[in-house]
Amino acid sequence: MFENENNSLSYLIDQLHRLPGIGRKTAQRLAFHIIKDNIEDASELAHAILEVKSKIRYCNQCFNITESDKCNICNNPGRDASTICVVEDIVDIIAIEKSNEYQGIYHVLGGAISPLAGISPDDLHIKELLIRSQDADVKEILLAINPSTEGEATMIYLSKLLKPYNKRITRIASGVPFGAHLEFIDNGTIGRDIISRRDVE
Amino acid sequence: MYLQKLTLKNFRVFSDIDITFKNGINIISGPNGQGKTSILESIYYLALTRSFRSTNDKNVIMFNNDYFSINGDILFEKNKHMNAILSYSTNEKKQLYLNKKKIDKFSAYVGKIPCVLLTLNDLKLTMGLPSNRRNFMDVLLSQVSPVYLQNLKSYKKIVQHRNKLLNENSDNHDQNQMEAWNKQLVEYGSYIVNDRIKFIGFMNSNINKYYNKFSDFKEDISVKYNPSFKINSDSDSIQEIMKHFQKKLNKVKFVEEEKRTTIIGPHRDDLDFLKDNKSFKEYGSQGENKTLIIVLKILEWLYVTNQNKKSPLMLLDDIFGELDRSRISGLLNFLDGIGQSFITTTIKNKFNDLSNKNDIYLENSSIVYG
Ligand SMILES: [Zn+2]
Repeated sequence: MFENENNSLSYLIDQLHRLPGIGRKTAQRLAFHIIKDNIEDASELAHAILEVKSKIRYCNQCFNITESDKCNICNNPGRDASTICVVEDIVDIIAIEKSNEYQGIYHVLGGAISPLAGISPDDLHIKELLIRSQDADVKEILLAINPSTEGEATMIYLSKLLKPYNKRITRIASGVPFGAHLEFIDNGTIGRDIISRRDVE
Repeated sequence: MYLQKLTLKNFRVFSDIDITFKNGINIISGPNGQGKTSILESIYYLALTRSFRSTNDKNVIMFNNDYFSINGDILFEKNKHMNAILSYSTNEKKQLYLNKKKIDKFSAYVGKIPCVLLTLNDLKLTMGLPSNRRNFMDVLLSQVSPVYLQNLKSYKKIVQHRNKLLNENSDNHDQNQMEAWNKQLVEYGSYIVNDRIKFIGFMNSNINKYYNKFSDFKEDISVKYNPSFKINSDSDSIQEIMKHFQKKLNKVKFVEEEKRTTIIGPHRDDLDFLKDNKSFKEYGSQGENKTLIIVLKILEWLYVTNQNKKSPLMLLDDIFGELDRSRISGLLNFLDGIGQSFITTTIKNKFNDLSNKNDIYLENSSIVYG
């Protein structure tokens, strides 16, 4: 096919195809769009990708993304630092922030426990969460993890580890559809779930 | 409800075919290799989103093509209409559309077009592997309740995670993590067991009534549940099932660590069919076995109808050659009163006595209605 005859094109398609959610066909469509683009637009895109890689880092407290040491949320004195909302991924913060129902701060685990995917508790930011939980100012830890089997295992695991700290441990109400991902749930639902969170027994 | 029209594209031997069915008994006949079974396969595919012949979607695509699609029009009472399309192409995932709306969660869809399948393979149900009997329950209960299918999928995933974990750190166990999986294993597993108990209870209340229609002797047929942990099938609540499960799981902890696999739970369940309290496996004759299988399929139909409030389509693939005259007439008698069924056969005139039927003759993979 044409891809084999054009090395730079097939290279670009391969690179786009590597991204999550981009199938082969979509990658081809994007590549042809870039070919038709003028050179300025293409270099803007290339520049934006490099810029984000050189500037963005992880917040040294919560592992959200930031351009300085701490993220905007951790740095905001208006946020309630007595509640830590534990999420799998940065995209979950975006979903929860959109709902406007949560005033506390976050902790990003960077995934969920999954023996099949080779992700053990040591691969997640759990130690850092336990250290943060020692702080006397922290009153509540809200587990807002996707209710997949892996997310469920992570929540059970965390509540066991957090028990000795004598904090209030809550989880979002499972109005979240069974097995659904937080990032795909509409803002209304996630907002309601945060308001009606319940204690973990 | 009944399947009114089916359109297949690049499905097995059919490049593009429209078939119209009647409510009632549809007899699909023709020489071998014309695609009779493929028609049943496509109906089953549309209903359960997978094949009963192949585990790989690719294998179903017609040679030298890169996709297939199954399009079905279903008519309900009061002229309510439903359209379902299932398609698969080699560079995209399986896609499902219900009334033109894309369905992402297949488990929420299964059961919309319930069906009961009977093939020659089912004759191995009593004597064959335990996994056949679990599969029999799973296919049926998934069509009765989307929650069952969800629980089953989660449960299977948890077993896999657990097995991986048992395999990895046999000497250095993270007990906290293992308990996180155990809690879910017990929860999901117990709900599965609970649903199976209910169905087995239903079978036991009805099996003799139907079995003795086919049999000259009055025999006492029953189904015994053999779960991997002790329960009291008649009275246990879901909480009690969980308690028994957890207890046994704790007990086999070291055995599991040694065997490095999950040895307790509904994935190890089995059924025993009994005739006058003796195992069918050893004491059932071939003829009795055929009767039992037919009766189990009738019970499957009844249970789904009962629970789902929709009557399943009956798909019978090439089984009439294996049955004698009295079993054939008994089965046809049942089919005659229950809505839609599909029968494939090479011997069309076996069904000459049926008055109300739709004859579909396949030759060179095209269709003649009779
Ligand atoms: Zn932060």
